[in-house]
Amino acid sequence: MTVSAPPYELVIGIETHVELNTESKMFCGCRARWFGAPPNTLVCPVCLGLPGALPVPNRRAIELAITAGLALHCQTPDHTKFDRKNYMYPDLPKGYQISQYDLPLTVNGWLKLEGGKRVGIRRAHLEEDTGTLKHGEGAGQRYTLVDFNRSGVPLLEIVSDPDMSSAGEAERYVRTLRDILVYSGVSEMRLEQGAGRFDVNVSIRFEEGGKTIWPPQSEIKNLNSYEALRGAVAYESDRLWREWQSGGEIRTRTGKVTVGWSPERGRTYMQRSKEEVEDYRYFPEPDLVALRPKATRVAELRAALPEMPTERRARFVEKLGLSEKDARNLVADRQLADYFEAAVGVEPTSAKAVANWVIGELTAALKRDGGDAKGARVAPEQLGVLVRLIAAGRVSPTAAKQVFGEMWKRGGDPEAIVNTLGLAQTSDEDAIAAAVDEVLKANPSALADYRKGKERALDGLIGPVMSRMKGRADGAVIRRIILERVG
Amino acid sequence: MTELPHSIRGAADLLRSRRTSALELTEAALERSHADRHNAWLHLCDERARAQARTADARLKLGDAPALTGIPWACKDIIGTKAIPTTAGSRILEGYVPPYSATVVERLDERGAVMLGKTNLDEFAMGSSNENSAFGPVKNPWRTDRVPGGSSGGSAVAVAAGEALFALGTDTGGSIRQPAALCGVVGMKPTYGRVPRWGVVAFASSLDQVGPFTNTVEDAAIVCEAIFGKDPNDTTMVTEFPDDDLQTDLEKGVKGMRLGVPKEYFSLKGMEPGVERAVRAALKVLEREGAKLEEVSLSLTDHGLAVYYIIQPAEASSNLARYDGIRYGLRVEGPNLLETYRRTRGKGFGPEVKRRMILGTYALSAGYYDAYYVKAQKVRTLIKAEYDRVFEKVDALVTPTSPTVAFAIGAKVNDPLAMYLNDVFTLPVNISGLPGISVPCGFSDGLPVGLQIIANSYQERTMFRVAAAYERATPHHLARPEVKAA
Ligand SMILES: [Zn+2]
Repeated sequence: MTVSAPPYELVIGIETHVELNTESKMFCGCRARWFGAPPNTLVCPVCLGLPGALPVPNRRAIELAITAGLALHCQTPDHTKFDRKNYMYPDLPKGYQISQYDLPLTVNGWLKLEGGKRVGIRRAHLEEDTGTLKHGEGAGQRYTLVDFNRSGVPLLEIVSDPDMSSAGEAERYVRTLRDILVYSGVSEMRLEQGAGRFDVNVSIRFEEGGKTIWPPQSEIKNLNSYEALRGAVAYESDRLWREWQSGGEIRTRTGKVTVGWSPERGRTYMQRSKEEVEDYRYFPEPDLVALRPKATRVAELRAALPEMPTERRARFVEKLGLSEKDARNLVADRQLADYFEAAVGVEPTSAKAVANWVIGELTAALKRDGGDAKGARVAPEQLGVLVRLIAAGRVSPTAAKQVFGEMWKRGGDPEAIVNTLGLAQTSDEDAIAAAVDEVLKANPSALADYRKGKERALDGLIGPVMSRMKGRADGAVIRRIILERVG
Repeated sequence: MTELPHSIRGAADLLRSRRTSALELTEAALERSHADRHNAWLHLCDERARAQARTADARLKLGDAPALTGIPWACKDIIGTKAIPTTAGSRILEGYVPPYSATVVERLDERGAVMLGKTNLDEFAMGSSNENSAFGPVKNPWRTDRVPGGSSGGSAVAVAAGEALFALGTDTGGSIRQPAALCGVVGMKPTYGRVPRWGVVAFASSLDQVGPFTNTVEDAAIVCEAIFGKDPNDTTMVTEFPDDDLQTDLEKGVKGMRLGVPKEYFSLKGMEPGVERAVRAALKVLEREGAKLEEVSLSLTDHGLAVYYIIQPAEASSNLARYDGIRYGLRVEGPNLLETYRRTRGKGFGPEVKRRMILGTYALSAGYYDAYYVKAQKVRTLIKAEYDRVFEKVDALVTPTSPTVAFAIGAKVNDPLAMYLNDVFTLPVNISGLPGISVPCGFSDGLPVGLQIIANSYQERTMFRVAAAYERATPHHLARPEVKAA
């Protein structure tokens, strides 16, 4: 299938809301990890908006927001504050949301997409999440229930410049942003648990009668998956174009419209037009004092930033000689990449081999038994030593798998295991020759095939010889001896 | 009916010399409170009070009990009390029982003070006459056809009528000092940020402070010592200030002190001659005691009212948005959400509260915000700066508390602007975050007049020192209304 280029240019800007990786909520001590908890069990006077309750800012959330900004090359202004955003809705217990209006915690940054394109980050500000509503029907009546577990969970809203020009680019931006936030420890951003939401501003631009036409944009609210992002952007840009072509009210309208996305129907639907835009009556939150992040603390946070995924992938390829694919596999999981680096620290000359072990044996073992690379039962240093033993010819790759299995099961030092299990590679060629003879005798057909000219017929014999040697022989030596014997 | 001792100090001495017990004192206070004919109380909690009194007696027996142990007190019903209804004087909080107590209540509980119950007030503390209560007006014990002042009218009356030995109120623009003046008791508003607001139903967050009503200046210092100090739950308490012994300077007198007399406070058109006479006489007393009086100018005083009536309703309009009928309090069901909001809030709030929410919403609206709210904040900064400059020259300011004595119930209900003028001398103190105290300074037409003493931020000791010197030199604080039994 070929996709023809659309007859217009797309201009996309994205506001990303991410839940911060904190233990407690933004302004109270309640647990922030709300997903899956029974309704209204993670609440207190503050996040229920009871009379007389006052907010106490979560220092960790503020630092994570600054960290996110630093990871996105933003500036940290030395004076910021919280504001009240006033509107009434049942999931908003105080009748206002504590947010940041004109002085956000971090401003003016950028991130780089794969391929080198930069997307500007206009600002990122801290706010508190709302509760959640559940609509139902019973006894012939429709009702709505409110769950305040999510009320007050810290949210970071990251506003991009309108720098993206395709649905694919929008998705790449969001994926890159997610990588950076996960890497810097700011957010787990588990989209399937509602820990990341996107508001996407879509507009189109084209030439008509010698003039550049730029119809009013649409804001698509509350997208919560990559598929939704792709689908909604494609649908809405096309809809704007069709509406213009068919002479719809878009030709006379001045303000933007807000739409929602229905994944079931694969289309957007109107939420409100500009005429109905709400006046949030922002004003400085009088229950909180202004914030002045200390330059020394910001410097500490900057120093604590890890290398970002794009740079790390490039280094793995250029400095350590990994393939693009291996580098991507490792870097996709920060813990796995950290593990890899720790193991390479022990055996710096075998990075590729270490990568194979981490992506292969380690990942398989983790998948089988559960758990993360951090705290895996085989420490990265132990794996490094094992790879060094292979490189030095002290243990065969086959036997090494046995050693790894043993370390995974019972722990212990790889060298000691090699010795206890008697897996040290032997250089006793007489013993290997004896094993070769036995195998040749048991497989006369292989020998016959070889003699008829099938050169690869002997390859199948290496395995059986190796197993007679209990994996302690060098494969290359076995092959040489087989060839000597039949030649 | 048994009379209560005149002061906390007096009662504390009686308790320690075993001439009375906390339980006896509490029974007497409960008896007097139940007999109250001024509508001062919204809720009396006899059993809780008796239980607290028994615990206090046990503690007194052991010795080492704080000054407030066994002392019966009255709590303005805007201060949240765990398991005891808290109405803020409004229908909108019908049925609401807080699951937690305000920090100030906890601090008094810990010291063994005995809370008798909750006192009447203007709805959400919005008012200067206590006529805005959803539960009816409070009457002034000096003349029952007169208002007690507001918004903490019930608390002022409970002390003035000898029903409690002290009371807590809240002061956003004068709501402690003005009713104290009109009821002839001591009322004090601390520096903003010295008393935790945690658990106190918010009216205007950047102005609200809790403070005491007492019979004497010394008593006010004793209560302040109990309620002052940082609370991790109120992060606007930014200034580290040592836990001060506020009674240290009470006996020092005013000899050599420089006291400022702001001329703008004496040139107000609506000031009653009897009030001015009493306050000028008080100035003479202070001079005789050795203070040096200096006329000073606070030229922005006139703008205080305008600034206050933008910032205060703006904050209130936002603070009161939470009363939506969804989680607690009154709910009047409608066919849809918007209609439920309209009916609930329409029925739950009284006219003055609605007026201020409309004022505040307007001041914060797009297109008006800069002209009103932002400008008001700038003028607020200028007013504060003017006080700062004055306090480089003088130790404290001495002014009238209110331009009038207690006025007739109903006289000003239809004239909000005339009502707002009652606070013209007290609200600049809130705007500037300063401490202020009102002490009785005589009578005009048989009704009490209050003298206000204002000090610089965190200089409560200085303020108490001047107030105590004045009190020692005059008998006004000993005058009590004649209270008839029900
Ligand atoms: Zn909470």
